[in-house]
Amino acid sequence: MSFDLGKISETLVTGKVDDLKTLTGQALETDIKPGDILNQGLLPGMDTVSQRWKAGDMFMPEVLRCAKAMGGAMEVLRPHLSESELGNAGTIVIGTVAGDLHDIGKDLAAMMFEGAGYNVINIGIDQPNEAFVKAVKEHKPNVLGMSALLTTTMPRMGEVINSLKEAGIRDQVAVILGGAPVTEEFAKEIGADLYAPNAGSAVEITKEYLESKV
Amino acid sequence: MKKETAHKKLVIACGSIGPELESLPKPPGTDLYFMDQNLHRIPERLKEEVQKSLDRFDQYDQVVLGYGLCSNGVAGVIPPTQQLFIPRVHDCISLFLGSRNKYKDVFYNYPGSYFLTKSWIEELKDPLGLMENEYTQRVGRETAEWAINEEIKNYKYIIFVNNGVGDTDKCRNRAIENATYFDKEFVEMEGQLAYFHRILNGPYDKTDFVTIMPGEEVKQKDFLK
Repeated sequence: MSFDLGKISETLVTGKVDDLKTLTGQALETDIKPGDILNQGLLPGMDTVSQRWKAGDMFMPEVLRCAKAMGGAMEVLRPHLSESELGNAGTIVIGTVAGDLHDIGKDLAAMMFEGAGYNVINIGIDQPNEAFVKAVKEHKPNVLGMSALLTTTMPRMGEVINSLKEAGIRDQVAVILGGAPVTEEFAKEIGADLYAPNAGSAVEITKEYLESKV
Repeated sequence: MKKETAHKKLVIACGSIGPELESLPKPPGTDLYFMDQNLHRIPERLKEEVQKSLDRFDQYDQVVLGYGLCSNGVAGVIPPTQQLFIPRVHDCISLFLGSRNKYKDVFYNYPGSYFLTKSWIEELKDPLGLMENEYTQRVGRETAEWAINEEIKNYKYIIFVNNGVGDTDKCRNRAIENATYFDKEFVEMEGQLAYFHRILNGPYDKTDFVTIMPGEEVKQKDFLK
């Protein structure tokens, strides 16, 4: 039986939490791989949400509703993602830098990474530089994700990278940055490896980078 | 009074700082042009609109932007023919408080603050206003209430910056109403008009203003110094 994954994307964009759960459940009853439901249904939907938000066509409540729907779909999907699809892609430590209390984008990114099979250590908001260094030492992740929503707090990201260097562990981890005011140019300048313009793209960008390193 | 220059000067400012700018005497040879405050929400569009205004008002020798970096909303803008001055601030909060340093102090001493001023309150961009109007219209009251609470859940303070313009009692009451409704701590701070005065009159020294020559591009890093 064929199932239109485009419908999953569309329903996610409308932010109908229950409808998306039902649809995800229906998709699971077909012979479509759970990974494809995520990669070809949910993630393209989130990408559309990001684009519409940036263009100003979607407002915050609509974005939040979509994020909630995505979370609901992931709950349905998670038990079905095989081990190769879940938990084997690597480990990511993710958090929002000191002085910054925003977590909507960061949590969305965390959810995407989890969906893509990463072991996600979400250290939360307003995390001092040392907390990032400590978490990298402790969890030995492949990836460190940092988020900032304010241009006032963005410079903390460069400080964390310098602290990683001082601790001699900078080379052990790929650093990816996200958050509305962060730019590719800024990421390069402070010595990050990667920059993600939105939560949806973070997973893909990280995957490509890690594969290129193998 | 010191005269700035004989050249014609235009101030292109966000509507959010309209009440403060208009409360000050306008120097001779200076014109004011206000842009929609709602552009704040969509930095990409803010950039396009500021660029359009710069392209349109090419009869002026100097333009002062009544903006900060505003989530990169002014980064990438190129004044075609004018010399451009922009307050070296992240956003309008530094302008309302009077300086970058004051904002830094407040940011440090009151972590998790939602700032309100006359324009943000009167244009219904306060949390209550957003919830009752913008959000409810789009998603219904229940989701609107859930969403605004999600949005500001990590904030601790509602800070009313009182610049002494307009009906300050009414603004204060509305700020208190917000704090009570969303269970935040209300703080009132006295604002300063000094930055607004300098936007209109100069001097546009390098500490407090970014200077961009005609044909040059505004860069994010100019504001992070």
